[in-house]
Amino acid sequence: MDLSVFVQLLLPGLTTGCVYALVALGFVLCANVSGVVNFAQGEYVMLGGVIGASLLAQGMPLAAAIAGATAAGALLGALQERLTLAPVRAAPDFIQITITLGVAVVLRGVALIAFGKDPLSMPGFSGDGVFEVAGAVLPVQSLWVWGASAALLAAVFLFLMHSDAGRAVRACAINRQAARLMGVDAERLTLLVFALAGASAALAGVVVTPIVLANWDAGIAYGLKGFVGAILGNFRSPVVALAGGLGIGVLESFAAGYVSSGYKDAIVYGVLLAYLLARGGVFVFGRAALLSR
Amino acid sequence: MLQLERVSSGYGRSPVLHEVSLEVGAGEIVALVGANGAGKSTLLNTVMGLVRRTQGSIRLEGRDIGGLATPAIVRTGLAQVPERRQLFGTMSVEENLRMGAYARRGDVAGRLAAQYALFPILAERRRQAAETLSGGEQQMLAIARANMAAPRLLLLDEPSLGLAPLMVVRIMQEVARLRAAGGTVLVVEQNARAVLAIADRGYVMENGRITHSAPAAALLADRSVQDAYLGGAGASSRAAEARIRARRAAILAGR
Repeated sequence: MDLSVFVQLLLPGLTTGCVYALVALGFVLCANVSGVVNFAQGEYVMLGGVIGASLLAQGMPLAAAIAGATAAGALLGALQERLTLAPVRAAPDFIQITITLGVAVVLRGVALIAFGKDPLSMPGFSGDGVFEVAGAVLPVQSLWVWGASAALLAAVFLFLMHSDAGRAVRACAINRQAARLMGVDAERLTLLVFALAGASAALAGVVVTPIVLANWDAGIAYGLKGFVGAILGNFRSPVVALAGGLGIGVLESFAAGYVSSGYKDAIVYGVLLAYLLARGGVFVFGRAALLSR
Repeated sequence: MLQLERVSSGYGRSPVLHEVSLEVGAGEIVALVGANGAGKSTLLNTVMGLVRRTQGSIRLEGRDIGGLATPAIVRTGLAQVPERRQLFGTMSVEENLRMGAYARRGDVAGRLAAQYALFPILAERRRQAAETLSGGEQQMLAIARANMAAPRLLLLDEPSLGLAPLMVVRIMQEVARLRAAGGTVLVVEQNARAVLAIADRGYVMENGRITHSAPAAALLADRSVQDAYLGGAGASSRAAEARIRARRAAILAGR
């Protein structure tokens, strides 16, 4: 096997994998606190990309465009929770989950109307140069993606392990009823994690835009692949979800490079199906994660 | 301190509690005994706002807390040690304790130190995951976790469940110590004999209704209570009562 081809597939796979990992983390956090799988999660990646690119195109400085896109992700995430989930908190989980699918369609449609159907681009944050690793050539922007993802993950980890609110999020994941007895206000915590998940997905969307462009219909793929990562972590373990997201990025890249780019999605979803069948299917996952309240 | 007046509650349309009235005075240990499924846990969960009250009033020091959400109820000074402990198993002992103080922050370091002084074994195991503790240690952790909220009234749900008989006595002694330190406790128990040995007063619940209410020693000596919940101790009530008093004194003295 040719090492340079291997690296040329591995590293870009890790780059998209970073985005899937952040989406997967958003899925896990939101599901554990609210009991709802937020299928609009991937749309925030797309929104971060298109909002960041258009802010920049309108003459905003790069840092402000990045901050603006991230803030928009946080705000939209919070709005989604307040407007579409908080009013139906008492409804069965599947209704709330279906509503998130509706939100995803609406966000996609609004993006199409507001930003147009053509992909938006952004220049690399430190130029459009390339660098070489073991014979593979990568855009310098990859370093931004990796660095931003690592920083975000570190921030989320610190939040979960060393803040009262983060500890409460983990407590909800372990035993939601007991967390309520400790006086954890699930409403406030839900709002917080939706904003957090929206912001981190949007930031991932901006930093990856110089490499993959931002397109109104890109969110669904990010969402589904992040979802696969979250399932691998059984919607419980943020760490496994992260590793799952990264792994799916790499798997997809290998599938495209070694098999055919036409089959890459078939291979990724095939792996998901095989995994679910092997460990007892969607029902086990559903009982463990979704109906735990 | 806590007063329930004709409280009904339940899940959906099927009521579990029927017009339950119950009172816990400051500095008391009150026991609520009864068979499995009598509605004892539902009563505690109704007080904590986890189960919806459909009728009646629930007052904590005069203030109606019946309509409050659980976090607000915790902030008024109630804390529950839930049935089967419900610890955060993969979190450390100390993290569990910190979660206990979630709704009532303030002097968390001081309260941690106080709980470690009360339960030295928890200090030893502070970095261990809660799920690695023995059953008795887990029950102590569950009690300490509830204490971290500095509650005015502690609600204990089946503290003896799944524990060896010696450990049951030990846990009951801990509960008695909490009261000695100025606490007020409402204990729900199937093990009527164990809890009535340390309680001041007791209530018996059947099918969601209170059927008896009396001082603990009187309940222990009561023929019908004995037959139903104590495996029919049988003997003449005067002799039984004397035995009970002796046993109670022994447990409270920590022997």
